[in-house]
Amino acid sequence: MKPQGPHALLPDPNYDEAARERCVASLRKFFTTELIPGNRELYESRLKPKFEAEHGRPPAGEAEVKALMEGTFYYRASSLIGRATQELLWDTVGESVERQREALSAKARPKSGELGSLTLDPTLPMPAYIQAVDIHVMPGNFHTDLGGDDVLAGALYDRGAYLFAYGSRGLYNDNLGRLVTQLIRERFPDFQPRRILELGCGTGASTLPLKAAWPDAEVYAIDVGAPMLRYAHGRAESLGVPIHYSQQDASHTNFPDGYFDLVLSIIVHHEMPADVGQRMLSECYRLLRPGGITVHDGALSSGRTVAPDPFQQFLSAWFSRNNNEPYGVGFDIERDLQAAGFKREDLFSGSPTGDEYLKGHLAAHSYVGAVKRGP
Amino acid sequence: MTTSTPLRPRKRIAKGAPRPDYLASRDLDRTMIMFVAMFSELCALRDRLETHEYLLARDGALSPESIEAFRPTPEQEAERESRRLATMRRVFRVLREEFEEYVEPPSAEFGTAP
Repeated sequence: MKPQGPHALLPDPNYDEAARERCVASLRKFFTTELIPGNRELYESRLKPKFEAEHGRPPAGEAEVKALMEGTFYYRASSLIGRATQELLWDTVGESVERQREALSAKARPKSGELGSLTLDPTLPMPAYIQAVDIHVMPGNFHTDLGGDDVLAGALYDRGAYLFAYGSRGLYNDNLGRLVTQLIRERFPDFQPRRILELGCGTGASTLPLKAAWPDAEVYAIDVGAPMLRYAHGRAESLGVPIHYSQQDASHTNFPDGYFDLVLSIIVHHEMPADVGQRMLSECYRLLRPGGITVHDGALSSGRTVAPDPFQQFLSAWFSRNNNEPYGVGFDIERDLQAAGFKREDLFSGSPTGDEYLKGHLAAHSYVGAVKRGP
Repeated sequence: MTTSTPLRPRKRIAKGAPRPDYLASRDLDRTMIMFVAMFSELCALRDRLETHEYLLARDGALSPESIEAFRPTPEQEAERESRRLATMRRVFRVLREEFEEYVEPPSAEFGTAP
């Protein structure tokens, strides 16, 4: 794992903290590149042939695959190691970040003469689904504000996401952001957005590549979590990138109709309940000018999460069952974009290569988007 | 003159009520979570040992400051990472048993354990 790309807000672990972080990144790599693929190996080479010999047919659905896999020590124990690693990851980073929290908060505090801006809204009602479950088993989720100018959730996620990916998502966790800009530029070479909005921006890892791709555009980014936004703002300022951050709910923002040329979300939609995801896509439709573009990541190139074969269906639900991502299965972005007002013939999708897919069970990361039809 | 009789081995199991049953199935899961955390501590300790060896070879001496300031180069980290992954394969070896069993079921010739 290469050292993470530096910026003023990045937590600075002491020697032992850094050593533990390297260990947990190796555990993540071991789980992702060896233990998860081992499930398929065991299924294809042992469990499926044995089932076929006994029944004269392959396992028919996800339930039969689940029963076979859960009957093995391998699946049970490797899943537990994966879960234990996930808990350890946040605890390892959490100890290091908590030790530095006051210094990090001080660095994040807005100063005069800044490039971008930070607008917090302490009255914003926190959505119930955000409060109901700590996504990724990250204690406190994306939004918990521990008081003062707290940035803990941002620092925890920035460092934790880097270790989770054992550095494979770019030195600034920005591969997915760069890939989405690549896809848009390939499909729409003449598209020159003047205003861009990223929904559910988190630490801003995907926001900065948007400004890099379209330097003349004004870039806005929203999130529900104040500690996340304080961190994202300080991070962007320290990297010299002007971004306008504000604390808002992506399903209901305060921007005017047709204000943006490009509205997107990256690894956000699959962490929302279906009805909230649908409202977010409808909000995208409202916010776009005619001819504007929206794009979101989808699990498969079709924009659906239902995989073609029952083994893939079973494993694609692993993170849902084991990693507190209860909304990660069963959606269909293509269908939902049409329900939001986009026309079927205006949809597009793509699976740019260049990212390591960390869930180990599906095809490469994909994006699904649409152009808003003019009047 | 005393007659010496051979000393018997010391007792290793205490007489008394049977050992209580401690772990329930959720406790086993928690124990594995502790095990993985302990494994990480072991890796961190090994990492520190490797740093000690490196600094001793480089500087001929160790100081808390030189250890705290040290961070492995990308090449050193790549080597350390492959050692950690090799350690994980050894420690978690038992997971692979089911891959092997189906290939060659235990032969009856060797019988069962006494």
